[in-house]
Amino acid sequence: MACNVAHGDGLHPARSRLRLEKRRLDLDLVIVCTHGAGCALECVAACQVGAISRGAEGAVTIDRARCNACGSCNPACPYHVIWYDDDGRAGKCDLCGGDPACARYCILQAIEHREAAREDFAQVRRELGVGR
Amino acid sequence: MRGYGGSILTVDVSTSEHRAEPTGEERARLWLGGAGLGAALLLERVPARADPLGRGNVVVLTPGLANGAPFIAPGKCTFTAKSPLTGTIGDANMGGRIGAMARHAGFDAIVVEGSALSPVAVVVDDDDVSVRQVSELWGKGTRATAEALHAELGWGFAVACIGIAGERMVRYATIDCDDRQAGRSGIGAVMGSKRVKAICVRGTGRVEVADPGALPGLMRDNDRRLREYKSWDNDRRYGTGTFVDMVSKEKGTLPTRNWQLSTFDGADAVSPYAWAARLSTKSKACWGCMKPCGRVLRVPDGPYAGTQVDGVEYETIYSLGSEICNSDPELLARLNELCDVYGMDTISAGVCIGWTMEATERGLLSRFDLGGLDVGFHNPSCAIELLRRIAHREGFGDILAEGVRRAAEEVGLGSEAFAVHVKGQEPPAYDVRGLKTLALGFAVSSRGGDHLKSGAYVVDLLGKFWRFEGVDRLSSEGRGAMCRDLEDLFAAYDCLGVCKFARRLYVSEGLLEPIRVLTGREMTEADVLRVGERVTNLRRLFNVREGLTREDDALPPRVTDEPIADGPSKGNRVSKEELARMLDDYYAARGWDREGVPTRETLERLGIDHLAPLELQMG
Repeated sequence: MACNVAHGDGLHPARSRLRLEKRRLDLDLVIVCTHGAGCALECVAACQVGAISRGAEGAVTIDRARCNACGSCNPACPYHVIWYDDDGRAGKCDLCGGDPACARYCILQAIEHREAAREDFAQVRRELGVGR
Repeated sequence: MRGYGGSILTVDVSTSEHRAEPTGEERARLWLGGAGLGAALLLERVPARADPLGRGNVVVLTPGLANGAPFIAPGKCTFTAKSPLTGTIGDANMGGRIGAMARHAGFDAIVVEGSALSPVAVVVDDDDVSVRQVSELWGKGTRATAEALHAELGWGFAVACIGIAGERMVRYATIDCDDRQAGRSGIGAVMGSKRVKAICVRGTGRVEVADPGALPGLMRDNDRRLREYKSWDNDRRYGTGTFVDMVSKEKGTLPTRNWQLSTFDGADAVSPYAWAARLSTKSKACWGCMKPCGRVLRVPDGPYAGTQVDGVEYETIYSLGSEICNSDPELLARLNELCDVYGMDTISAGVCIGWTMEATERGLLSRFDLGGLDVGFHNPSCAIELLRRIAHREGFGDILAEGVRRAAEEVGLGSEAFAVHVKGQEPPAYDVRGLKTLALGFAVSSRGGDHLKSGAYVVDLLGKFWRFEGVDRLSSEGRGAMCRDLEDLFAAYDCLGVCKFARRLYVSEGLLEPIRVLTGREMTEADVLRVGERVTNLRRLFNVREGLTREDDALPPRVTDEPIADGPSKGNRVSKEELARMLDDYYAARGWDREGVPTRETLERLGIDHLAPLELQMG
């Protein structure tokens, strides 16, 4: 909800830049763009018009004016956290310019905005029971 | 229509056909949404004196107006049907995601009518509605059912389903969504009677609001108020059961041993303060809630190792704890999990078991009657087997599955005297002999034994809430108007879908700004209470139509005839004469006649006189 509101989407969870999934009664996942920390920037490589880039401050963002609505980026993304507008153009998490609303309004502080460490991903793999 | 999904969806599972109609300004104005809209649709769609488990009944899902919107605790949607337990209007709310999903799919109500020949799931994917055969899910528990449907449809769907108890039409079966339950009134049994195993909804649309520019301010304001609210962290850590100790020791109003006692010597052991550190694994929230109180428990070792459950909530600490003299929190977690997976109400199931234990100890039921099971307060773990038999309607479980009123009628032998129920529904965790506002609330509640219609336990236990101060819980003076006001307020929460655990954050002007932002309606506190009053009157009209009278606004013999035997409230009871005075007072405050029927003037004032049964309209 915070994500929708911060981006001026009104009440529209299908347009949230993060996705919640319950895997088990004791395991809820928040799936969100890692901005290159947990992937190989597949979306940047997949974009044929160079609309997706990683800026100096580390956020991977989409230049919506340049996007040609080809739909290649989300299938390439390992987390599938890119969505498409009604006109087919792509949108994704932009870290709210450095102060993400999801982390700001998470009163349990389950969402943090910080540099990801190797251990974070190892922990997720352990919880999911995949890989090492 | 700003703030609304916009349509009412009706799915007839007899024919697999569906239709949508506009919600309309008039319905939104009269009922806001949620429980109010559900009650209005029930009165409209169900013919008088319909069999609750027959084809004529319907199941209505109504999201609250707040579902999916930035309120602090906006998670509650309501299921409404004629109750197979009480024969009254039945409703039950829950924090499952299905409410918000329905709104985003464009629906302010989903009505399921008719009955299918074989098990089906109603699947609503935005405006694509289908009725699917799911015979392979029949016989599965709620968790396995939700898991299978999520695997097939994707996690994006919210799944509300019944377990084995719903299939077998246990009269207090629940509906489960995201491990939260619409628990009371037996609406799961109504779903089972229609052979509807699940309702699955995905909504991807936007809910248009009247003042989108105000949404960020609302978010900030919620966040600020919550951080100033001192008990949120405690709620998160320990859940809803934290005051069990106080209710037992300080007030002496925790029903124990099938209401024979009112303090529980195991209260310390079943209090969340005793077990949370050892058993809790994580915090759990309803959809959109900023003030989570859910806990996931896991029993790590011992006889109940592997038990995992969202809970244990206050009411269950009573019904499967003190009520049956169980002071083992791990057994409690196990019993809670069984009820959730079978899909039945922990309160009703616990009271049925407590009654069985007492009947056995009094020699009214033999070991033979109970299929060799050692039943009694000395052996609370017999509840594991009893719950299984109830859910499967096996042996004596078949009788208990009918609810305590019918079970006592069946057994007879004077067991009716200690069958604790109001209008056939087993009551929650408050001994109303020492909580007199709530005693009236129990007696007049539209769905029978229930604390959430009046919510009067708050004023009685704390002495103050909202506009009331210095309330003496043992006095029955002036309770009519108090009960009326509290019912109206709490009915308004149910229309909005705002959780009553956040009540103190919203009393009551706090509700007005979000309503304005969502719908554009500038309402005053009086306007909001008027909606609640309208809903309470409508529920009454439904029950009058079904043949209920003043006689049904009664309390069980244990409350009227037997004074509390122990603890700080010892010696108190609510005599029939005292209750009669409170009823007169309440009916007068409501503008109802001496028989408890809304007068034509009252209905006209509320603008719902056209909804009254014909004989009332004639005056």
